[in-house]
Amino acid sequence: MKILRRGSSGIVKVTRSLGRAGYTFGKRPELIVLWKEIVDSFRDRRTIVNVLLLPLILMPVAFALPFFFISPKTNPPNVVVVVRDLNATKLVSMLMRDLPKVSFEKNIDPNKTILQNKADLVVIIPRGFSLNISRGGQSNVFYYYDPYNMKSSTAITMVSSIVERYQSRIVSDRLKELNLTESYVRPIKEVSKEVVSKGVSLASPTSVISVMLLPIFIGVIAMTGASAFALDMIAGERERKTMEALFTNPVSGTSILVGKYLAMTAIAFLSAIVTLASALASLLLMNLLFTSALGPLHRQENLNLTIIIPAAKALPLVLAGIFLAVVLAALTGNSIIAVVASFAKSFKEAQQYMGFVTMVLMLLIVAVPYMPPSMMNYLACVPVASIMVFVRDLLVNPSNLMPIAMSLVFSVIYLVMLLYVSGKVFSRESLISS
Amino acid sequence: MDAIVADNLRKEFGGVVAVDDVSFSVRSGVVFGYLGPNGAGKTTTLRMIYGVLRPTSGTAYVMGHDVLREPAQAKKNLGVMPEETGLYSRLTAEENLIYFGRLRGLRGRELERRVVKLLQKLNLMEKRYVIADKLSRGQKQKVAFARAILHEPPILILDEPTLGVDVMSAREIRRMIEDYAKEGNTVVISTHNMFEVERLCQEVAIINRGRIVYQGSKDDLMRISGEKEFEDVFVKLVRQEVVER
Ligand SMILES: Nc1ncnc2c1ncn2[C@@H]1O[C@H](COP(=O)(O)OP(=O)(O)OP(=O)(O)O)[C@@H](O)[C@H]1O
Ligand SMILES: [Mg+2]
Repeated sequence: MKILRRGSSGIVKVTRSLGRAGYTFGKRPELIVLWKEIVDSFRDRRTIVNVLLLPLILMPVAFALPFFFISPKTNPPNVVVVVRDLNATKLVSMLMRDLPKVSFEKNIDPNKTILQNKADLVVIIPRGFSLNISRGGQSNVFYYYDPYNMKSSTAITMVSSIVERYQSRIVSDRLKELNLTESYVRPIKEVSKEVVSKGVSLASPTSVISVMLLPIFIGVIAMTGASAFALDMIAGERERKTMEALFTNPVSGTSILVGKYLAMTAIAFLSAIVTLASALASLLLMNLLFTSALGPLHRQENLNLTIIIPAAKALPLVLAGIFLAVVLAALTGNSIIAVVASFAKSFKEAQQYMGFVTMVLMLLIVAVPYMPPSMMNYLACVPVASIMVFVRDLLVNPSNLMPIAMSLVFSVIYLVMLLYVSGKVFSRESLISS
Repeated sequence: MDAIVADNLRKEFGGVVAVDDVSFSVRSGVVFGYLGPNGAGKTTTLRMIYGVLRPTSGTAYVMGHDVLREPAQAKKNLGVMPEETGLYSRLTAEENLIYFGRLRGLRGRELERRVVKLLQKLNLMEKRYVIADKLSRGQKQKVAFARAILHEPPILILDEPTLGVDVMSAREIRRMIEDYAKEGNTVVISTHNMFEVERLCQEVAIINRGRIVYQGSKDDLMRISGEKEFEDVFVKLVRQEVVER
């Protein structure tokens, strides 16, 4: 009780030694500012939420959760088979063996069963099914399904692959009788080859997802992490009147700004580590849960970073690039928001600006994965989007350095410009005119 | 040498004249009272002197350094307690002191010794690890005061240092100001508190509606006006000014 009344809340206690470190940390004013901003940020609930909690929650949700719902293993579709031909034992036993969730009925109304959500798929094996086949004819098998239910289509895929196998067995029996080979009736065989660049491991469901999602997450998390910080940086200090007290000290606005950006960089770095670790853990979890259910289509993967980063051989390069991208994104977002917010007359107004600016930034970030690859050259010249293009190229094709260098150069140029502008804006604060 | 010289300081806020060509000088080693009713322009004048507000015209000198041309040199000689304390709400009392102490070039043991000494003198030791957000207004004022004198500057500028502080704490602050001045330092203090002026100040300037209506020693002022209570002198001067306009 006494501790509570004194106001030393938990987080203050945890970070107390961080606070004490200020007595000796660094010599230059930039580093002193860095120390203060780090302590200040760790006491701020928004930092904890944005930097640590958000990636920890967002990653599993984004990577694993959708799979949980559509994966036939964890959440198999419910198939009801109506067997009207008691001689169709071969097909029935295959269905029974290979479907995770199946029941057999003699007579039900398939429409009602689907409409009442009692099953995701009703398969009807009609009377005379085996007789027709044994006579060399053709038999129907009926699928009743709900076109708006994703599990229905999963169920059809699963059932039809079983029926297909049964069918090819019948076909090869028939061909044998006629002394023909399979190539005679199937003159064309399709052979597909994945084209990925050198050093990149072949695509797996997880790596496909990570190439789509990782750039978005890097952008989104860097931006949300930066936005709280950016808002506090000028508008917040002004609002709480700390800016004025700060500038009674003989330090330059530039030193203070550099210190703040150093802190932002450190926080972005931490956020990147948490994000990557969380993404990796989520994907591992997803892999463990779902690989076997996806069958031979899905390669068993080693439990290492290559499942989120396809370019196994260039791993150090790609990892370094990802960290660089996080820092670039955080600093770019931070300086954009800080500059815009500093033009607001009040803190409230700054918050409103920030909401709008963050939305525009998010659009630029999310746009990248959805644009066709031919657009990447153009997006590489657009602020913020260039950083996302950089990450994408790095993940997909780390051996092709030209496009990577281009998006990186653009990103750095924009950042330098923004830092320059924010420096101007900030030193205006050191001697305000109103 | 004069510690502070205000040289035709003028500030207009969108056409409204807050400070109207104010000039005065503060001799080294005195406690200088800067007085005036609400909205007279005290804070605005002081902000221009301690270098955070750009004057519309005119300038100020701190130990001979032009605040506009050599802001760092001027600021090095100053310890400032602004009207708004401006403590970082998520930093503890101690960390707030560390931050400014470090920016003033102090560090390590020496800094900690000073921090602890000041917290003890101001009865704030038990608030050492409490974040500023959870301090009372008076406690915040005291921390801001400690922060202003931490680096032992030759000149102290205090904008209403005892505003919202209870009697006991106000006395602590006053005693520290007195001690500080006795060591030969200069103190500029803006205040409404007449008792404080009588008790602390040797020289005063009175500002009303952006203009200086009196500058000189406190004793001279009392002698000229013939009033006994300082408060009455003050009211009289301000009224006179109003009538003249
Ligand atoms: N940033 C600002 N923008 C616009 N007007 C301002 C600003 N700061 C002060 N003023 C105006 O300038 C005048 C002088 O204000 P100032 O704060 O200097 O008075 P003061 O003597 O310190 O008053 P108080 O005793 O209430 O602190 C007032 O009319 C005030 O409204
Ligand atoms: Mg004032």
